[in-house]
Amino acid sequence: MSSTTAIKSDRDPALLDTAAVYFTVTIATLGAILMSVTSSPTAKGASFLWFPAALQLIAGIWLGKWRGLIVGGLGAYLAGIICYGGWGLRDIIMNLIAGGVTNAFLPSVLFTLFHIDPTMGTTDDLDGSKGEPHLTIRGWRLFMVLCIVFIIAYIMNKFHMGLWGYIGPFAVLLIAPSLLLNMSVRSRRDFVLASIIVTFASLCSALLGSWGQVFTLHQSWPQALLGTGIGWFLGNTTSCILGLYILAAFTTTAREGGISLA
Amino acid sequence: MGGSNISKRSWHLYARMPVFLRVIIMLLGANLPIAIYRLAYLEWIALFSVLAVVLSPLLYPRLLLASVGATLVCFMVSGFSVHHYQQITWRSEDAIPPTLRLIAMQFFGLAFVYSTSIREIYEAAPENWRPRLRRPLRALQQVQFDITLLLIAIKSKRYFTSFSWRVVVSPRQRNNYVRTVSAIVYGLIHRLIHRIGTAHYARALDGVGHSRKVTTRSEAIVTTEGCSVWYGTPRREDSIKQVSLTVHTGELLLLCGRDGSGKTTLMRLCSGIIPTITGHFEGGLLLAGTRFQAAGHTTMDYAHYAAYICPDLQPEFAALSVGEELLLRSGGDHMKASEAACAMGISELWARSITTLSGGEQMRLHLACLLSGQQPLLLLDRPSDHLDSIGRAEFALAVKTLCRQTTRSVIVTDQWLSGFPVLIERVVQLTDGKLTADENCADQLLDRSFLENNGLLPPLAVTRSHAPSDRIVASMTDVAVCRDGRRVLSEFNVTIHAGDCVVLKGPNGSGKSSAMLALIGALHCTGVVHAPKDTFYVAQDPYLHFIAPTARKEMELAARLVSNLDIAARLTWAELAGTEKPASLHPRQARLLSIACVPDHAALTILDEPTCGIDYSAVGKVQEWVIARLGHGEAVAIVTHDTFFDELADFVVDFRAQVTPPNPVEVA
Repeated sequence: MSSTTAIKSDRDPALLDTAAVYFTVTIATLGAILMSVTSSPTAKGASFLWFPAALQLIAGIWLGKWRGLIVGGLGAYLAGIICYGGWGLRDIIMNLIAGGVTNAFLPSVLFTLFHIDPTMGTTDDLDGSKGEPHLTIRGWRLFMVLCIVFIIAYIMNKFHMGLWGYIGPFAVLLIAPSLLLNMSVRSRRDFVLASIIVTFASLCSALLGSWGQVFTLHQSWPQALLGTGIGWFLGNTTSCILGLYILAAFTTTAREGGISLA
Repeated sequence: MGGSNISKRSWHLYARMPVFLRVIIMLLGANLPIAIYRLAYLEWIALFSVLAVVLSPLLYPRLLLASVGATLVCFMVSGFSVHHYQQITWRSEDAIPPTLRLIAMQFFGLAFVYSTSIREIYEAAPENWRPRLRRPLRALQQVQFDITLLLIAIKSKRYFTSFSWRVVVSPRQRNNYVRTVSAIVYGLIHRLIHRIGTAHYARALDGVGHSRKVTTRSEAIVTTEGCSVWYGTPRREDSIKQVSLTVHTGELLLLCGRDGSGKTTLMRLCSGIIPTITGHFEGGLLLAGTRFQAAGHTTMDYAHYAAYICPDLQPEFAALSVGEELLLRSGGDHMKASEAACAMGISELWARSITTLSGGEQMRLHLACLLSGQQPLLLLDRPSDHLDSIGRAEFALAVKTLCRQTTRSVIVTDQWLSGFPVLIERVVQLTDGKLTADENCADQLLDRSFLENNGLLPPLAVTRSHAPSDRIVASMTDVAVCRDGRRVLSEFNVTIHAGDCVVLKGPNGSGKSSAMLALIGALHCTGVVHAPKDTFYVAQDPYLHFIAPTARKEMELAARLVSNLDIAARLTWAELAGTEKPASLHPRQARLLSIACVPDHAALTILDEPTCGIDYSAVGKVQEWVIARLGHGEAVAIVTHDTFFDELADFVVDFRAQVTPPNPVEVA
């Protein structure tokens, strides 16, 4: 008998479905918590610290655009239902569509279009783990102060004090660069392009969320942008950039494990 | 079977998820009634939640204060709101929903854990009053079991040692605070990716149990033609090299070789784990006459022909009772399921809930499931590691009978079986990934040099030079442990002095591990327990310890608990370079790493089944490790089925009569 010499790896495609279930559950859980803790003062379901955006991005890239669309959208929609019982038209726009289309589907399509390698040049996931964030002592103290400010902001936010709600995302914005910029990727070209794409996707996502407010709650556009759009955009972008580092660190492992099409 | 199969199948996905995911789902479930309440304003759901909060502290009184306090704070804060920056008001509609959500979480979180089991509550009610809620009851019972497992894992320091606040904020190593947290996150993501693969394989095996049977029969059940296997891309080093092997129907083949020689890889290849889930291969592979290419097949395709079991794959079950699980895996064939239960000595456990089984009993059930399955090829990777001596004998006999009476073939790698050449028909030796011997008789197993070369020669008896002191470091007096409404240990007494080596022995399910988990506070118990704070517990499953992305980082996390950890020396001892990913370590390396993470000068170290997953050469290393500890005046307690530590033991706690009713005998 002649020996078969096919070297090409071909994992079981059903692994992607198993992974999709895991992603959906994780997004829903994390999302429900963050929708509770970092919700916009004027719009329930619009979280200003939307870490699941990183997972939605990863789902879109690894599992493919269509699975990403379902996982990202369904995960966020479930999070809304669990968190505050939101399943109306506004939640379909803000969670199901914004989460699925702009946070997962759109980046997946654009990554393919611009031929971006999600590993950002890393050959082994250990390369990626070298880029883990670290803080100096001063940075750590700053981080602790910001955490306290964040908690105060959350409590004030509960009292519907409007602009206090923005302290959370701004605290994240202050601390995120020192964390994220200490991480490393090898391919600057891929990283810069990917950052532009996720920023664009976050912008679309925030606009969609604001439109949801205008369309369903009859807010004016300035009201919607101020109350929802800005915080949404900042929180989403920060999380997506974190997601880029996770992509760089784990795409090689995910490929080996058969859960990445990228 | 159709309808019931669907309901059982619906359990599979849930049952295959890691515990933490199942707990997350449970928490989501806890929130769902509140979401419905908010939508439909169904007052009666709120009523149920209020009842739950009343019930929860009663079930676990120590949490009464915390429970009430947290509820009240949430209730108060949520209701306040400021209107137009002037007037502060309190509105019940703002306060009640979040409070109810908290209450529901309390119910699920507190009432389930270490409290009366759901089944026990159900059965305590008069029979006529019991609602017909069998399925919800089973679901709740499974959730309760999952939470308990998670809590035990945390409390037995598997996770806790690395997640503790002290580790995160420790000033010993500057600039590493966030790095610690990020290392944990990286490690968790690794585990999750690894877990998706194992869950997928387990699901594929279950899928075969009640679907179509293999009808193809051929003389050669498996043939490998010059197969080479490697992990990772690009291809670096082959784990097995140009292996050509044919196994015939009804054959019992023992695969020999030192740890790392490629035994597990060869079995993974035959089972289809390679290449459908991990690794790559080239060469020819035929299962029952069907040629499998390196690409284009699903895990399920392979699972129709071969079933694989290994010690680092935790037994997973889709049903809740032993009988249900066996019926599920045998495709509803009651006769086959009963025979498998008899063969593995678990007939008496037929109606028992799986959640009440010990680790060894679960392994017996797992093996019984394989025996009752449909696959013509069984791949058993160290199957008897967790079994007691009776279980091992029963299993060996069952496998032998299976091969004789049916056309099923078995490939087994088990150092214990090598002590019984009469059972073995054929011996195949692997050395550094190459097939170096293939004999159709087991005479080689009588050859001392062959045994030595393959790590099959048991280590020599060792002795200790230091005597224990009179200082008591730990004691248990009249300790009783109940798990899921069943008493697993009662009137247990033990006193451990500094420098003592205590060996705990007994059949599967006799309460050995439960006793040690109670000692470290991971299991709720009655009686008097005294244990030092620096007690370290090394779990049966070493993979449960690992949370970091690399072995070195794992060691660094352990080093942050204590200052005297020589990381380089310990990595060398564990035969690791430091860059390996813990989730995908070889069982030998995983075992050694988990032991190497125990800091020096621990007052008491508990090793739960430390010889599982390692060959005799590694057992020798563990023996030396124990002797060194005893030499420093530290106490070591060892839960084991083997005799390797008997010579070191100051006393043996024998659990033979422990099964029902528990009554351990201390033998001086």
